[in-house]
Amino acid sequence: MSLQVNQLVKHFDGVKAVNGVSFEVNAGECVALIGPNGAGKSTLFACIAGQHALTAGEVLWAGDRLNGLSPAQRLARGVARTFQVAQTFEALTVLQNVQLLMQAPYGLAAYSVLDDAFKGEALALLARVGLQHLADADALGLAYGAKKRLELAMALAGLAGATGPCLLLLDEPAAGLAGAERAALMALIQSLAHDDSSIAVLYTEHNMDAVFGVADRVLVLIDGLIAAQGLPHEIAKNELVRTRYLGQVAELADQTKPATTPAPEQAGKPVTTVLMVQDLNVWYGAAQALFGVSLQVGRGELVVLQGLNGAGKSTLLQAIMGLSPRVVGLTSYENNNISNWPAHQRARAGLGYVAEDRRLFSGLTVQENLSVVARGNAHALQEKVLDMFPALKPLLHRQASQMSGGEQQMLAIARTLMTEPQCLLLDEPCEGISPVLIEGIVHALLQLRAQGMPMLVAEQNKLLAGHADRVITLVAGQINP
Amino acid sequence: MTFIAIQGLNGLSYATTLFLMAAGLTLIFGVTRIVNFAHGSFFMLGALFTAHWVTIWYPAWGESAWLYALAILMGAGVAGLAGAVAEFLLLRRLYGVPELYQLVATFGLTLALHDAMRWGFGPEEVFAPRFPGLKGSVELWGEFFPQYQLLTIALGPLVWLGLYVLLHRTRFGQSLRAATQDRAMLAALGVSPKPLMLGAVVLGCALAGLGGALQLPREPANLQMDVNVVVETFVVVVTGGLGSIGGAFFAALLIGLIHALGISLFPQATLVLVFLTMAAVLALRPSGLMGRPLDDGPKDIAQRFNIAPQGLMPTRAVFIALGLGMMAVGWSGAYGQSLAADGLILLVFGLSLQAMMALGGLVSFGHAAFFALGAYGAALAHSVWGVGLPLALAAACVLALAVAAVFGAVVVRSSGVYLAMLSLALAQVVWAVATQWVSATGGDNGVIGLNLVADGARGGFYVGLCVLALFSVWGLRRLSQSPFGAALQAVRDAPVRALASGLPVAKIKYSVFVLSAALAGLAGGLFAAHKGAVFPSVASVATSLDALLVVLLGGVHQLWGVAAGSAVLVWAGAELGRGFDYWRGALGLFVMVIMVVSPSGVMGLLHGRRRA
Repeated sequence: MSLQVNQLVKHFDGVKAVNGVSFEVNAGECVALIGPNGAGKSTLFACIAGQHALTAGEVLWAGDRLNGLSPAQRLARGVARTFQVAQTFEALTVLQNVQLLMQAPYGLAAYSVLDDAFKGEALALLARVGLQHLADADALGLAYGAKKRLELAMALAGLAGATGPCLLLLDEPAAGLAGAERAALMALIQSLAHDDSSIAVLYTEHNMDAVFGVADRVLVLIDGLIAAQGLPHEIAKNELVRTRYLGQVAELADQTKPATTPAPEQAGKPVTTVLMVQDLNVWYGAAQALFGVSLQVGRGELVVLQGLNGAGKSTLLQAIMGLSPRVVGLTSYENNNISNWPAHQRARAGLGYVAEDRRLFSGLTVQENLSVVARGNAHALQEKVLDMFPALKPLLHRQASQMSGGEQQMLAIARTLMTEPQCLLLDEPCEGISPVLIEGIVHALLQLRAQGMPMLVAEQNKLLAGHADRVITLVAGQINP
Repeated sequence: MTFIAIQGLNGLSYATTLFLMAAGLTLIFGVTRIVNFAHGSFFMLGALFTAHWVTIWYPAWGESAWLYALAILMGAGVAGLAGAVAEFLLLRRLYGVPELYQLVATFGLTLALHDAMRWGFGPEEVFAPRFPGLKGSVELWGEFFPQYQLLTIALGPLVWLGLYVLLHRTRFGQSLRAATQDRAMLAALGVSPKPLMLGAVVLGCALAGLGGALQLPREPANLQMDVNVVVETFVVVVTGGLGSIGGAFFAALLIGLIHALGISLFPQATLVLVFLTMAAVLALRPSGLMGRPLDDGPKDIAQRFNIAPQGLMPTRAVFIALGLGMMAVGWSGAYGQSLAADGLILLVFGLSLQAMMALGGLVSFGHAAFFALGAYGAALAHSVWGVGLPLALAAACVLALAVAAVFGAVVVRSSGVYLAMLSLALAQVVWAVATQWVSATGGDNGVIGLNLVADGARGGFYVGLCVLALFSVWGLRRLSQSPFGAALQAVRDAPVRALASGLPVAKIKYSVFVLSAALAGLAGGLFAAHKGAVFPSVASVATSLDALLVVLLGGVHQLWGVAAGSAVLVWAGAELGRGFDYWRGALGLFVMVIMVVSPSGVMGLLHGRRRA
């Protein structure tokens, strides 16, 4: 009656994402899987749930080997999953969503009526997740919290036909929810495992309040390996976990203090505001990612934006750049209200953006990546930019896709500098590259700052924070006060 | 051997035309993510404009090589200009809207442009002079080969080279390539996407116009060029991989050669051979020779299927009232009965398309293929084996179902864009077989003198038709409420979730496609019985369009939409179609306006927008 993961390995084109992971989860248990960004959590999760094929190792549930089984076969053996961004069948009612998945294992007839199928069972299941009052509502119109609950009900509905014990795999079950709503949902999830000794829950999570006080056990994944596992309070004290992951949370809280005091060299001098964001709310579909965020960046300031993965750092930068589909709130730059400007107009006004995943034009050469966005005298500009990143000089005719991660990162920054920005938005400029290259990039950024360039940098590591004029911490889409 | 070599050269020459078309289509798709169904119209525009220029308007130009060449370039220019207008007025409004609306709107553009050209240039075929200085032939391996075709063979690689230089050596070309990869990031770096998208459309349409104008010295310009060329263009683009110019080049060579060999070896089955080649490539490489899998575009907000005219009366009353109404029309006289039978057959045909469009989100632009298979299946079963109506109708269903079972297996797993393009191509294959396989189908003379419904049995046939039509509506209603119907909508709206929930996604899509084809086949069989004759026009674009129109007119997501749509279309066709020559063009215009203003259809408009 347990999930057994034995020496699970997953490589992508030679990149070792998961590197020999073994653990167990027992029925009746609620276990959290945590770890820093890039540790391989989502890969491990997809391997267990069946979206990825394993490179090596095996996954067993209640003694059955799950490797290579289709989702329907896994459901029949009692294994279901949910997604980070909740997806429901929006053309159906809440009740029909559940009925359809209860009916599916018994065949999808074209002549019977769905509304008659498993009605009592479906209503009982909705009651269990607290949605009985919305049974006849369209799934399309649901608030996001209800949608998350419905997705949970859909996972359980798929298991209704399973005879043995059940395993629920929940990918960030409370992502996109705030405060009381999140606490209530996590309590529900905990009770699923505790009230029914034949259900096991394994979930990933970024917010520590959804881990401590909820999970019976915690697994910590770092660099594709289980770095620690145990009871929550043991994990909280674990030295390795503190330095590599949890420590960030505590330190972040300390570092927010300077936020109220101006940096020393600017004391007494009024700082003119270059970029200002006021009461910014951002949604992805129905999920809200940012809740009323306000901040300012002054001329010559280096502001570092910290927070765990999923806290909304990238979302904030994208929204400032005009790349988010649904934004409510004020963005102003150099005293212009740019809230309704399209992205290219913001860029021309002087905002320069470097994306987290770099988003290079991979079919173009290095040279072309630079020249295609250049304004004014491209040649002179390129000389200037390459002086800042000399490592790119010998690579000019190489395809952007054929460079190392660090080189790509330098190119991404260099490309943005070719637009002669007056204010930089950098998303994780030091992520996923070797320490030597990080030094080079940090040096280049400090050089720009010395020239008076205002910068807003999202950064999970602490490298730039030491040089920052101010550090702002985002927690679950809100600025940590 | 010599023969094969000469046919090979013919194929290479045709490959140039295909490449010009496919490169333009794929270029436009790369930057705008729109598949331009009207691409053949720009080809025809280039041909017609240049043909008129060098024969009717300025015949002197046809006698000088330089002026002729200039006229060809002007044809390309005019097509590019028309592309600019289309981008400005229509395509610009379609960026980022769900795929279905883009496909339907550009399909409407095809119709509008077709009639616009018929109005502007007249219906006559235009024979342009041969190219001055290249009128003769050269002797190759003892055979004569036209000099002009050698020029076109050389032009293919030259245009590819030109495109390569443009895309790699100019700033504009680099921006186009960058926009193809990541339009949003390019915008975030200060490059406005609008001029790029306009540029891609103009360039793509100009290439199509060039391809059309280059045809002139060897074939006349006429009003059938648009559909003929676009079908094989779609096959080339799908074979090469949507979005890849290199893929378009090699696929054009492959298809061009197969086409030429087909003409010389199996002239009746050329298109079938071309189609099989593509199917083989897709079976090995689902994204084409050099293509990458397409990412899903923006999705429509989920639409609930409306099964009753809201708040009017109970469904049962609607059924009874409609049944009585149809009986009354049937007894009003032979003309009324015949017209009503037309409408009922169209209703069944439209429902077959609606089932897959509304519930499955799958659109077919060549539903006429299955209608025609049904019509010919019934007609031939009757004329060859002498079977009666029930068995003839069964044959109609079986033939449509068999072809759909094979075609669906190739297409349903790939993206909806591929299904849209290839269904149109399939209809054209059926049409080609119907016209060219004279010994079986009678060619253009059709299969006539069918006596599936005796004169005395007309009334009974009509009653049966009424019952069947109502039963079909009821069946769709039932389907929409069934677990299968719910699963279809689930797969349409959230395919990833559906797959993870254990729903057999591919099987569900495949089933609805085959089911829809069988119903379309039944409608075709009824048509054959009703008319007593079948001609290749049952497989024409106009027939596919009828099905699409009745669905769109009434509203895709309205159960009674198709009934309303087919009544309106049959009535309008009978009343207006006689007096107004350009009513298909006008419908095309109407379809474009609907797609931009209210994609939920006219009934949707009447119901008001359910969700803002």
